[in-house]
Amino acid sequence: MAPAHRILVPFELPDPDPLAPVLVETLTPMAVVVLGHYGLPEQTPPSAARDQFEADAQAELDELARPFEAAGVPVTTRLVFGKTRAKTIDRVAVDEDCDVILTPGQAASIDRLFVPLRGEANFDRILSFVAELLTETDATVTLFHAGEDAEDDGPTGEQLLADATDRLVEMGLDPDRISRELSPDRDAGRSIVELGEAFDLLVLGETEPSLRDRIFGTVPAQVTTDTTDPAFVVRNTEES
Amino acid sequence: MTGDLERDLGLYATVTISMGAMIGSGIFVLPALGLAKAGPAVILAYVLAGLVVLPAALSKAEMATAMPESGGTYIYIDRALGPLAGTVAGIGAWFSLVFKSSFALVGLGAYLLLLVPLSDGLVKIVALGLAGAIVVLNVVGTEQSGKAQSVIVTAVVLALAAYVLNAGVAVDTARFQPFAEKGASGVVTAAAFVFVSYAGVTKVASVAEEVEDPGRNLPRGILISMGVMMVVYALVVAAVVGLNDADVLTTSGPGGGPSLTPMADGAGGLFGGVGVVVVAVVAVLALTSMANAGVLASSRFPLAMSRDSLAPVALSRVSVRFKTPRNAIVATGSVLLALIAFVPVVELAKLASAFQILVFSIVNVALVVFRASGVESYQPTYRAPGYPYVQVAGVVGGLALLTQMGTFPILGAVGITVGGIAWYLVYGRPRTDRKGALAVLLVRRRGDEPTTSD
Repeated sequence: MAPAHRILVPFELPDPDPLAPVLVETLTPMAVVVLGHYGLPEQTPPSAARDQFEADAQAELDELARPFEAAGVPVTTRLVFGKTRAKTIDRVAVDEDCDVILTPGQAASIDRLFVPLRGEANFDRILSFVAELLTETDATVTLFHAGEDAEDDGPTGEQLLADATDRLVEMGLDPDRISRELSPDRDAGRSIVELGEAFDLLVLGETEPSLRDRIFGTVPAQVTTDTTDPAFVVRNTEES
Repeated sequence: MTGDLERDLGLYATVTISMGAMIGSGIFVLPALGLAKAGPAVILAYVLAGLVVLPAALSKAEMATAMPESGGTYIYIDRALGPLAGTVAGIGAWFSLVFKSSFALVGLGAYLLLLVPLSDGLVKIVALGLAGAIVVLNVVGTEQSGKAQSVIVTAVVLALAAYVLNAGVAVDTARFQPFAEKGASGVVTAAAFVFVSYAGVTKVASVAEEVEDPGRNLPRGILISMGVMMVVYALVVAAVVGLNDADVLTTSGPGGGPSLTPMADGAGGLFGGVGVVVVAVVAVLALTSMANAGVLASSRFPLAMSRDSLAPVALSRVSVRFKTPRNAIVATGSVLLALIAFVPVVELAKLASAFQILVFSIVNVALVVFRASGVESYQPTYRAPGYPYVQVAGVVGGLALLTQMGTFPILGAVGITVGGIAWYLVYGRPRTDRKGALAVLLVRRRGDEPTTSD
């Protein structure tokens, strides 16, 4: 049985954009940590800002957590006053044992999921999370892989997608809801963004940054900046 | 909940923040002033100043690991010696940084005028304009520029290294003779004047609450940056001495005084003939960075004092609109503009150093009091070596330098002390009855039951 998933949902305070209600519904079977990041300029010591704004910020954060509580989702809140949002998100995800981080986006409905796969370390975790997401909705999922040939001794693109489909079916998913897409183009980032346009929600695996990634940004980072869809990034918890 | 403060400054960032706060007026503006006092032995003066700063830097490193809060120097002295000393030190540290920023800006104006040929009389106007721009920038708020800071500092250090290497082949060694023409007292006086060159090491302590793994990175950051700066200063000042005719350097500045652009003055032959432009550009970069950092850091003192009820509450308010401590920044900026407008630049430099010497001497006393009092809440993760001899040396050295500075700076230091005491009696005393570790120490000495100070 796959372990329960904990989702980190970050918000930028003050005056945060609330989460689309349909996203709240999809997260119902899981636990959620709502993170309020209160961004500060470098002139301001975080403790001074905390003294002055904490009460209001916490109230806003509680307001953001309410829809989850109403839907019966176990929710924790964390309020951080700081200057680097990305680092805070990573740090709190580790602290709170969150294996998935949500990049909120616009979503009117969740009908079509897009899941790029690489055969990486958190392959199983990504699939178990996708299965959980799909139990709450009638959505369909498209599994995607970039590159037809086998990498090193691994499976070919076809084999990988077939394997993923089988696992989802094993977890109880109707095979009619699963489709596959294989792209010969190995530039994963661009393909994902282009194809992802047609979908409502993305689920990506976190990648260990290569040197190229450190210069140009990891694939998940590129994708989440370029797309308006909400995206779930599944962390490499085995690495932390 | 207390774990929810961001700590995202690593060792490299800490070292570059410290060095970035030190590289500036100390090296680009002061060498001529020092040369006027000490002759070629001004090189020794820079090293001597660094040695006198070292005890205070070590003491700060220890206290920073015990109390990693913003407003460093003031916090340590206040918690150690109580709010009276805290008020004096807070005001002294604040003024010292504002004075330092002000003469950095005047020097910046002088270097800019090397690049854009306008009348020399415009130096002050340019400085005022720049000061205004920097204050506005800080009020509006800037994103964490740690990376930009690292880049600038690295670039400036590399440029200085290139300057030294290039100068090494171009110096006229005759200029180093007679080396100590003004005698040892000249060297000591010059050391006092250039003391403020190391004042930037304060900055590390004032952002201590944002440093990763503070128990290791704070002391290392402080010591590494001090060590590197002492070497850099010695080499660069040697180059300046070797490249310039002393008589010219000490009289080509505003009002017939020492030049404000000593590094550019002799650089005509360097870097393939464009030495003056290269040095001026680097100087502008470094001085702007220093002035900006100075305004940011000095604003934290009134903020910290206000949070402890030693200064008006308005100074700790964070603006809802800009998320910056606008009042503290504006107050700091006003003093900055007034100083640039009304105080001669050489006096600005001397007073900056005088106040800094005073504050650093008190820092050493604070450390001794913390250790001697055995207060339980004082738990540093780094212990400064050589206690108490190092601290005593720091105090003695500091006072020795101070007495060599001449009437005006000494009067300034005394004035700040008296003014600080008066302010405390009028404002702070009725509003707080906190006691420092000193009170614990004195109580114990009198044989009563020891208590913790909080």
